[in-house]
Amino acid sequence: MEMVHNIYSIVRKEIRQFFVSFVAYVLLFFFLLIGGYYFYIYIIEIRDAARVMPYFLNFMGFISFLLTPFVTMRTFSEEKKLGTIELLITSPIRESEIVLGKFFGTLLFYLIYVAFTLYYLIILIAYGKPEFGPVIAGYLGFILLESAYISVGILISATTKNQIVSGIVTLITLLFFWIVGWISSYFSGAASSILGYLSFMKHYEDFTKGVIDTRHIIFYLSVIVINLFFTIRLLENRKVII
Amino acid sequence: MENKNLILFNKLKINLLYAGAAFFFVGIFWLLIAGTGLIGLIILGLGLGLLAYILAGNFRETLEYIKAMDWKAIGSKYYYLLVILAIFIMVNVISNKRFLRWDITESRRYTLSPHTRNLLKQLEQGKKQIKVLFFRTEVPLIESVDDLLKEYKARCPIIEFEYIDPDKAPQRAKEYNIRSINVPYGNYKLYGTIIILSAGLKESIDVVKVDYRQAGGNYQPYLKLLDNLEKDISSAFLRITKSKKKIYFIYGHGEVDLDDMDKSGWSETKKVIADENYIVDKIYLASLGNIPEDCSLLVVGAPQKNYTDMEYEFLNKYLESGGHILVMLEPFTKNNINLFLNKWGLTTSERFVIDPASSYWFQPVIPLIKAYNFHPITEKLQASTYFPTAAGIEIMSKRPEGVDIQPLAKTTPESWLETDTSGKQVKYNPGLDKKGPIDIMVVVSKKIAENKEMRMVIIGDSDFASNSNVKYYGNMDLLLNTLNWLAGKEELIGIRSKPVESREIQLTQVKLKFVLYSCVIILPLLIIVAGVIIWLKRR
Repeated sequence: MEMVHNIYSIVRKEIRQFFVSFVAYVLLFFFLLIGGYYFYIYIIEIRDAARVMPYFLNFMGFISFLLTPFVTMRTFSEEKKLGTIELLITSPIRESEIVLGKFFGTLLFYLIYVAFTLYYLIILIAYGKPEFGPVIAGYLGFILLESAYISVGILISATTKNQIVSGIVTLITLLFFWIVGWISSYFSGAASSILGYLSFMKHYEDFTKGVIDTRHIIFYLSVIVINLFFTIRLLENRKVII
Repeated sequence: MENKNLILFNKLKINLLYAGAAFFFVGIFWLLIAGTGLIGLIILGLGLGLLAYILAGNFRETLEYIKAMDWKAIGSKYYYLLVILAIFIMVNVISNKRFLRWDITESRRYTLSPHTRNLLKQLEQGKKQIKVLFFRTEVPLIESVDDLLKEYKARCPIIEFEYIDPDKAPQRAKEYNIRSINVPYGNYKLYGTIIILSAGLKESIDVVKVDYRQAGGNYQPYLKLLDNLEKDISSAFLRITKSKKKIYFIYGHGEVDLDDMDKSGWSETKKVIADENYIVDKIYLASLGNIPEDCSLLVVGAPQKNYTDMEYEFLNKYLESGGHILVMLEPFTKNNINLFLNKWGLTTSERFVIDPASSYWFQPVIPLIKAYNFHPITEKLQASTYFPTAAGIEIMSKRPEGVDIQPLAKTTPESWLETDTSGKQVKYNPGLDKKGPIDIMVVVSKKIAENKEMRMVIIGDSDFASNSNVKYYGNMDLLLNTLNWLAGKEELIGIRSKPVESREIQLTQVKLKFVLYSCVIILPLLIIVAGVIIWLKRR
């Protein structure tokens, strides 16, 4: 119970910190500007209410990999730069609670962004007959994909006190996991399937179509767990990070 | 001394404990991946045995040992990285072997039917090499076929899939004789053919068909996917696992010649049939005395001479026991084929069809058939077919009992059966010539038993499939569809097509403007305004 309380207090602190900075609004502005434009294009080009959201969710997976580094880069790097990390670690809150708090805080903050895209769904309901299966599965998949992105960002953020470095390294790492699926098509046999398996986007496609597959859920969960675990280990070995 | 021995013993026990745990996990891992197997069971058994042996005698000791372990120290060592990675790989490998998949689309678009899943399970167990080549242009129309094939792959990973764009790899497309569809799709010429290869057999499926829709008073052709693609693909998979069927052509009465390379011969046609996974052979009824066991289909290819009573007896007996026969006729022939046809409620004559209203290049002696009656043979036939000099088939009023007679193709009402076979005076003579429409293709069938049906197709022409004609218009498709239906080519039945509901968005200019303004301008601006307000407040 105490653990939940501790995590919750960190989540609240994180969310507040995000929303008092003007950057959050600028990011959201761009997110909705680009998202809105693409939604409009999909409506014109596809004209099929059942297929607009799958396309849009796929696009959102792409735009999020560009945006996530901006969100996660400050999680630990900023605290380290300001020295507040020392306070956090010496407080009675455990390392795992700090990491989980930051993870869920960032995720929740991002989901508030994503909640705005439900407006597009309302438009589709008003003007057509969208299919809800793919939408539900798609958002579920998106949460998993975004969680995986964030876990990568948090781990990298915990390794450096320079926000810019944290952001750029995260971007490059996510880029790798994004293009690895595309690289896999140049290989054959086992190399191709292993590289393809590491692709974050390939595991996401089925969700947007309306198919929920335990393989994809396990993949994302194991990526999230492994990243958060390493972050906790990093914090526990304080010498490494401060 | 005793103390030292005890320590040694403990160390041994601890190592055995580790070994037991390792065997245990490897065993479980093995069983999960390879399914039940002796090796996996032995490893698992070994692990369990070791664990049981150690734990039975030293339970408390072991527990205390584990409790006293310095987890932090273990954690700070680097090898925990390897352990974590190993766990990551193990979890993912297992999840790929044992997984669940839920399709929550309304029409269960991505759910393969139980029949298909069963078939795929058999294929997986059969361990036969199967390769699927999908020649296709990447357009939204084809996307759902990719999705469907992915479901096959998900259920049966041993099938090898390859996706090929014929425009980028024309050589490969040529190798498999892939042709684009003659109706354009937007600005594209569209390809969409699945080739399934296994053990020298080949099956091909064209996934797109031409349909017509009303647009401004007339009918416009457009492309759509086959209505029940899963059935077609699964049936092809089923067929490719079976051995080739045998077709016998009757010889000895001046029938079509499978080795004749002349224009009127059937050497090309023989190749076309063989490409459809059939073995084609000839048969002399008189010298054989009976019809071979392996015969899937018998062809009576426009005989010029009479058959003997005995030979007709063979044919009738074969039919009555659930046989399959294709009969082709030619006009201008004086033979006794009516002896055979009359028994099945049909009759023909020397007269030939003249169709001024629908003919091949304005030659009325070559009727062009544009529409067919509904039947498995003609169901997927899109193109017209032509029949150079065709005989008419008449259905007699007195039909044999239990026999179903169904005309498949007929000429136009303007056509007639010309009696003057000398060809001097080709014009309609009321009273003498028979007025159209004339049946030139008829199907006769009769249910013999639960899974047995006598099937016979009678076509008033044989030249339509000769070397010079078989590859034009829909003639080849008509011939192959007919042979496939007659030979009872396996179809996986029970797979229903999935209803596709139109969910088109009805957008007026006003609505479209609203979407544009609200999504691209108003919503993002609101966010900026909110940001500015909060920022000002904090100042």
